[in-house]
Order: sequence, then C-alpha cells, then structure tokens
Amino acid sequence: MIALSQLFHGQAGLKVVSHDTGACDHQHCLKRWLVPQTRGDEGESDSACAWEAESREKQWLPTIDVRSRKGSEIPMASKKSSPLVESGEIAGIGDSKLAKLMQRCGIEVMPACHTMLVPIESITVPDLALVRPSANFLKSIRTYGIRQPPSVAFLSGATYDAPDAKYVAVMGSRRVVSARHLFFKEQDPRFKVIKCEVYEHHVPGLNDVLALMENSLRSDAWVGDIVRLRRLVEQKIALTLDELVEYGFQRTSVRKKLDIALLPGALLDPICAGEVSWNTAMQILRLREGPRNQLVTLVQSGKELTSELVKEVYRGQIDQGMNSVQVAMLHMWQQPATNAQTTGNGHAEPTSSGSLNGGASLVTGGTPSPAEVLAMLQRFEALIQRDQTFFHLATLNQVYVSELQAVLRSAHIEAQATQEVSHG
Amino acid sequence: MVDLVNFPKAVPEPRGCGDREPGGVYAECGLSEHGAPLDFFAFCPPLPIPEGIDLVNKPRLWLRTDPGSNQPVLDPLTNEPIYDLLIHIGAEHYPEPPDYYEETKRLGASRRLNPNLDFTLLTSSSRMLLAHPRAIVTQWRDLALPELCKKHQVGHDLDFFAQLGVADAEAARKDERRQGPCLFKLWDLLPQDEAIQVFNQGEGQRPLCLRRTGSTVYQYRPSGEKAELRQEGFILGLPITGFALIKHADGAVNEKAKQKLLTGLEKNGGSALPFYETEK
Repeated sequence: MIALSQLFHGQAGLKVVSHDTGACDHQHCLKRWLVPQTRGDEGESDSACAWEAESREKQWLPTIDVRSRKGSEIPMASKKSSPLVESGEIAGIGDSKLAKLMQRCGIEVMPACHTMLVPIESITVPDLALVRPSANFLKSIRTYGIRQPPSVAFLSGATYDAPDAKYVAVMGSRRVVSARHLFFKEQDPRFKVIKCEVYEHHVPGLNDVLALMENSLRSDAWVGDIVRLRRLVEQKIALTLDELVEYGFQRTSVRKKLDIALLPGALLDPICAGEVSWNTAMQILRLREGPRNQLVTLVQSGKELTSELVKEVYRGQIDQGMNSVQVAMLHMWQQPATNAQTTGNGHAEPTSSGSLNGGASLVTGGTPSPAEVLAMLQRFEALIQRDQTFFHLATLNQVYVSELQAVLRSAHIEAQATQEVSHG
Repeated sequence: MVDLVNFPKAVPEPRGCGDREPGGVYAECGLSEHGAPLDFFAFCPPLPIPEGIDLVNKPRLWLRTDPGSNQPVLDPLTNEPIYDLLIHIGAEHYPEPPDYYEETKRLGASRRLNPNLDFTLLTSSSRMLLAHPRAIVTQWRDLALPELCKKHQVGHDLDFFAQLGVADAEAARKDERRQGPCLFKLWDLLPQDEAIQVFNQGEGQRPLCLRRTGSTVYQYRPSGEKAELRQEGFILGLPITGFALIKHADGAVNEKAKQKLLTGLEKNGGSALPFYETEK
C-alpha cells in the first residue's frame, strides 16, 4: 500500500483516470457521428479515456490550489501561451476526417491558446442538461481536483483575459460541470477558479475539431499507462485492483492494463515499445498459459510479435478447445440410425426435431368435446402401454386424464346443481 | 441441386426470445418429416466452450479442423473448408438449457445472425453449435443420477446401472463407473417454484411440473436438488437447413444480407444453403 500523494505526485506520475465510463463527454457524440459503433469493443472505451492520460504525461499539471491566490478576487493569471496545436500543425495532421471537418467548419488557423485561472461562474456549458457527470467522476474530481485543464473559448467581454470575460466550454464539459457542482452546491472553495486552456476566440465546431485531434493523439496513450504500471510492478509497489479502483481508476480498464503489465517480458517489451495494437494486446490476454508460453517461445526465438502471429496462436487455442466438440460431432453424425436402435423400438420420429404435429388431429374435425378428448386420451393410454416410444408421455397423459375427469365431474355436478335450481 | 422452395423451415411461433425482428437474418434448423430426433443432435455431456472465446451476442464462424491433424476439414461436395456457427443462447431469454432445448424440439431452431458475418462460408455441411451459460453442472457427482439419458451414454443414468444390477440410486451415485455430467440431468434441476403448474404425484414421488418458454410448454419432474455452480457449454450441434430474412412492414428485407445469401447460393452449388423471405 502506498500513500496517495506518493501515488499521484511521485512514481513518475501514475495517473488518475477520471472518466466514469472511459468515453469522454465531448468525444462520445463525435465518435457516434463519424465512426461506426463497434459493439463490444472494450478497447475503444479504454483508449477513449486514455487521451487525457497522455496529455497529462506531456504536461503534468498540479491540482489547483486557490488558497495560494488568496486576496485575488478574480485570479486571472495568464502566464503563458500554449496552444494545444500550433497553426502550422493543422495541415500536417494528415487525418482526412479531421481535415474535412475543419474545412466544413471554416477553420484555417487555430485560435491562440493560453493557460489561465478562470472563475467557474464565468464559464457556460453548452447542452448543460446532457452533461451528467457520474458519481465516480464527481468523486474523482472532489478527491484529486481537475488534473487536466478543460478547454474554454472566449465568448464575450472586453478581451479574453478581462475581468468581465465570459467563456464557453469546448472540451471537458463534465469537469466544468463537476467543478460548478462542487463550488456552488458543496461550497468547496478549491473550485472557485479552475485552470483552463483559454482560446482567444470561439470558432463554431471548435470542440469537434479538438475532439478529433484528441482521437488522433490518443491511439497509443494506453501504452504509456502500461509502461507506468510495469514500472510500479517492477518496483514491487503492491497495488491491488481494489486499491486502484478505490483511488479512482475504472475497474474494467485498469484491470486489463494491469493484466497486460504483468505479461512476460518477451511480450511486454514490444508492447511498451508501441509495436503492438490494443486489440492484439487484448488477444494476448485471452491466451491460456500454454499458448501464451508458446507465443513467448516464438518471440524469444526471433519472431516478431505481430497481430498475425498472435492470431495464429489464439486460433490454435480455440481449435484445441473445439477438439472435443469436433469429436462429438463426428460421433453423432456417423451413427444416425444406431441411436434410435438403442432405444429398442426402431421408431424414427417424424421430424428433425420431434414435432408434436400428431396433436393436430385433435382439432382438425372441429373442437372435440371434453368427453371425446378424455376418450382419446384413454385410448392413447393403451398405446403408451404398448409402445415404449411414448413412455415419457405416460405420466403427463395420466395427469391429463385425471385432470379432465375432475373437470368433467365438476361440470356434471355444476350442471346437476343448475338443473336442480331451475327445477326448484 | 438445392431445393429453394421446399426445404425445412422453423415454425414462426413466439419464442422465449420473442418474435423475430424485421430486417433480421436468421439461421434455421427447420422441421422435416425426414429428419432425425433432436436428441440425436445433443451434446451429452455438454462440452465446454474453448477458453478465450466470447460468444455473448457475437455469433462466430469457426473453421472446422480435424482434431488429429489440425488441418481444415473439407466439404466433400465443394472441396472447400467447412465453417460452423458458434452461437450463445442468452440466459436472459432462456434461463435454463431445457428451455431452449424443448422449444427447439417443437419449433426448430432460429438464431439471429450479424449481417456482417460472411454467410457465403456456410454450407449444408455447416453446423450451428449452440452454447448455454448454465449447461455444465460442475458438481454433478454430488447429485443423483437422472432416470434416463436420452443419448444412452455409458454411466449416465439409473437405467444403465439397473442393467448392471445396481438398483439402489445412492449406490449408483457413488459408483466409480459413473460418468457425466449428463445433459438430461438439467431437467431434474429445474426449480419447482418456476413451474406454471404443479401436479403432485403422491408421497415419495416427484411432482409433475409444467414450464413455459415463449409459446412452448413442457413437462419436467424436479428432484429438488440445487446446483448453482454452472459453466457455459455446447448443448446442441444442429444442421443448418437455411436462412430466413424477415420482412419490414414495406416488404423489404436486409438487402446486404440477401446479396450475401445469393452469392452463397452461386458459390456453393450443391451444398449451398437456401433462404426465404417471410413476414415473421
């Protein structure tokens, strides 16, 4: 067990994944719009939350501490200009979807960006009703603060850094909404101002463009997480999954990453070197011990850890698991008649799945009376006694007969009673 | 030559999983006067699904391989590899394996497929391998033997031991020759309190219960034993008799799926699987 401060401010920055589902609010809708949904692709949600982790890796930001700025009513502290993406970089991103979107949005140059402390009350959140931070998310913000500044764009006021400036959130809406909740509802003074990336002016579609850029950046962010977890494991810092969850990590995503970090070195080295995709890493996790050792041997003998190699070994595992099924199928289909003979009656059921079509004769000539059905069931009883095929129907038939007799008796009694009443 | 009209079809009655959805494509094992009983296609004991494979909501194609050589098994008609369909039966619609089994016995099998699957790989040699999450009773040795294993597997049921002269059920339970788990024990384990109707059979006898799944009602006689430790396993390996494309209100079907099925018909010749369009 290690202390929280050590966990988050030491140890080369083991990170807080502060998303509740791993799908960031501003990215999720965009993904739905542009990328076909892939059901059950858990890797996607993991990487969706990883973008923030990577950003933190690049610019570690301490938890905000407004107490250090006591006396400043509006602590607008614009100190540096650090645009997320320089204007020249946009054309070079090379993502056709992004380029197309930027074109449609009419964005040629990204507005300049500054890291500033911004009063929470001056930030508005578009579609506020749709932004619902989960309890876990809120808990994470409450415990650790906002680790990655949200991005806001200057909306109105004298200048972007003037005291009367108003802003609109473009990324990190849930972080802003959580901070608002903690400041206004829980009176937590830490959230009176929050550190933000402030764009000098608002461009329609800016948040979408930024989200796409994040998408393009986040693809290998999970690798950084594995590297850090591996380091922690190697340093013998015992962290259980439950402890990590307690610290605010998402159980599903951190479990998988921990599992990856615990893979043998021969497999982990290429993963940490960024040579393996998330999906391939997940497929490695699905390998049992034997096939996994086989993969280690192959890699140690000089084979490259490619998705094809992993698929091949995985395929072998599935084939091995299916052997018993294959043997059973061969057996069942080689002896179609034998099984029927073993019942000792030589009877072949009329349908591939043993239909109850024979029952149709009960109703083809019109609805039979209960007495007719009873007679038929009693005749059927005799057949059951003769033919073993119908053995499993014996009990049910007896039940039907007795139930029907009971119903007829009741009906007879009722009829008699009715007759007596009418005569009386 | 494939008969594109008169081929066995599943019965379109309400099922445990509801009605078939418009626009859906379903793999079927239909009913026929010339077929074999369902028990013939049962896996007894149920077979565990391979580790590392996730079938939930994801029917998969599996290239059938020879257990000895690990080489793909070839279709004798086309000389092409045979692919089977691996399908999970959801416990949310079929809480117990007998629910699905009994429904299939009455209505045939009909399983929805992802239209992105390559149906052209499926032929008349392909099989639907159906797995249920509660198929394998792990502590089966603690339980009494079923009265009858419909597959007549060695060491599975009381009938087997009676023939060996072991008449006592407890002695049979402890007998070293006992094998399992028997698929047909699952009927004994159905809870009585989930029956729609119970007919008590007198002292010392198990009650006769009726259980409903969709439009199917079937009988069972619960032993009252509990066996909650279960494992997912294959219970049935059914032939695929064809596909059903369910029409939308305007009569249209999933065109993408239809094109694939047409391609399959062309490609697979004599071993191709037929399909039909239907309202439900």
